[in-house]
Amino acid sequence: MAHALNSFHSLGTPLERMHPITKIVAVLALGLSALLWPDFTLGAALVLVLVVVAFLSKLGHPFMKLILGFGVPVAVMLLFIQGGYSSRNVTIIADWGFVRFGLEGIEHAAKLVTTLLVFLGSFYLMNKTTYAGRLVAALTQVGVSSKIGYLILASLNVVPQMQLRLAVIQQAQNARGLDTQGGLVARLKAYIPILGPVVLSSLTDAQERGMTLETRGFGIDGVRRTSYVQVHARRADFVVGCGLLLFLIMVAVLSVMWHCGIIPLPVLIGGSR
Amino acid sequence: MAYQHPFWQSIKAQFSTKSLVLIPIAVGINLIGGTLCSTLKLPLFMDMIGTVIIACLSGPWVSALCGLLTNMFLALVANPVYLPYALASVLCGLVVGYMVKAGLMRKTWGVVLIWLALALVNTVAASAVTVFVYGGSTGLNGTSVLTATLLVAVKDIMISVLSSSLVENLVDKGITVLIAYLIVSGVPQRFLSQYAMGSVKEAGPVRFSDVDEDDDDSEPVEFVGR
Repeated sequence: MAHALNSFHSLGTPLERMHPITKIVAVLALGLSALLWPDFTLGAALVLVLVVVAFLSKLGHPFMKLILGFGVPVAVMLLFIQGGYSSRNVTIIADWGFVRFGLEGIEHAAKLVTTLLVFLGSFYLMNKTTYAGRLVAALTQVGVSSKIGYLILASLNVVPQMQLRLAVIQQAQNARGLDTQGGLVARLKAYIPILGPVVLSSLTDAQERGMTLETRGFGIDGVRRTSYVQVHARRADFVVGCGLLLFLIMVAVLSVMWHCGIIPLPVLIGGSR
Repeated sequence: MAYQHPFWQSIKAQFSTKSLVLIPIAVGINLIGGTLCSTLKLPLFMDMIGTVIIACLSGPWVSALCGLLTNMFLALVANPVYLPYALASVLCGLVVGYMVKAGLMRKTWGVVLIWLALALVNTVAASAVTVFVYGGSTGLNGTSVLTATLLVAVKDIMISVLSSSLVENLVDKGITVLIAYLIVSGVPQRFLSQYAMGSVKEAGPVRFSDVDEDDDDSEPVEFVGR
């Protein structure tokens, strides 16, 4: 799992140079638009847009793997659960004896799946194209506490270290004769002798780390801190961010108007309400 | 200095630098607990050991933040599906933290109570997320299949999700709390007493540990002046 941490590889694409805050705005704006829109068509369209963006950012292959690997099982399960047993089912379109599929439940399932995929897909793209240090620097620039920034970065760094330590301690305990194979009870018993030393040595580490940070003035409040990584906002970032917010507002207004029955939407494949 | 509500101040006092550096460690323990489970091929999650341990050391709100960060971390490196379940982790951290604060970790029946509360809170919160965010299934594991089977039998989405999750939670959290308890009992008293909730153990002269606890509560550790 340690290799999973180096999830950021520079590919030099435009999405990578985009300001991290703009990408967070993009995740929220796209996801909320899909959620607000009364049926699943906008979500489906946004998933297609995200696929195109992923291919442009040279992430097409892993992105498709995520979308299909998550989307297909979830779609099957939700079509069964919601389609067969949702309380909003009125129109029955298929009857297999033990389960009766209703149109409303299936539409609800389709909307759920597309909304989830928009959120997941955009979050995945943001994550894969953003260096964690840059993200934290951007967050502290807009006023997030530097302590929170420290926590995010430290967690990302500490975990691979602890995994290494876990492997070393496991080997050491094996050398002392600890049995990590065999029956369920034997394997369960091996848990404490491996985890215990990892936890205790990490706690001692944390103590030293705390003292080191304190001697460098980590606990001082109300001072301006400088960051090693600098993030500059460009005009393009600003334009994209505003465009996304406008899109969200437009979708929200249209959805509200539809809910109040002011306008009929041209393509409406079943409403969720 | 502006007036601060005592409740807010008590939360702030939990976040000393000593507690802050513990949080990444606890997040790490949560995650390698899960890794170790898959190495030993155990059919469990065990992804809350660190949350329980830090609840014993630093208090409920630090523990809640640790739960939140664990799920953020999982979302960043593994799968974004885990992000909404942060709600369940945060609630579990708070519940365990306040129960430890009430002194339940010192008695055997208290530990059992913590186990039951943890299993119940996690079941309800995680099921609520599964039903309201994901519509009943995340399509990731055997639990979803169990949910679907129950659904055919009882025909109610909420009940099916709740009961399939309650079974696995009772087993999983029982072992989690037991392991966390054993590990915390193994930590030297000298080390424990420097944290806000230092005296979870009965070992050693009770008066000393009480003095330590009072000291840490009244003056949060600050080496550097403001």
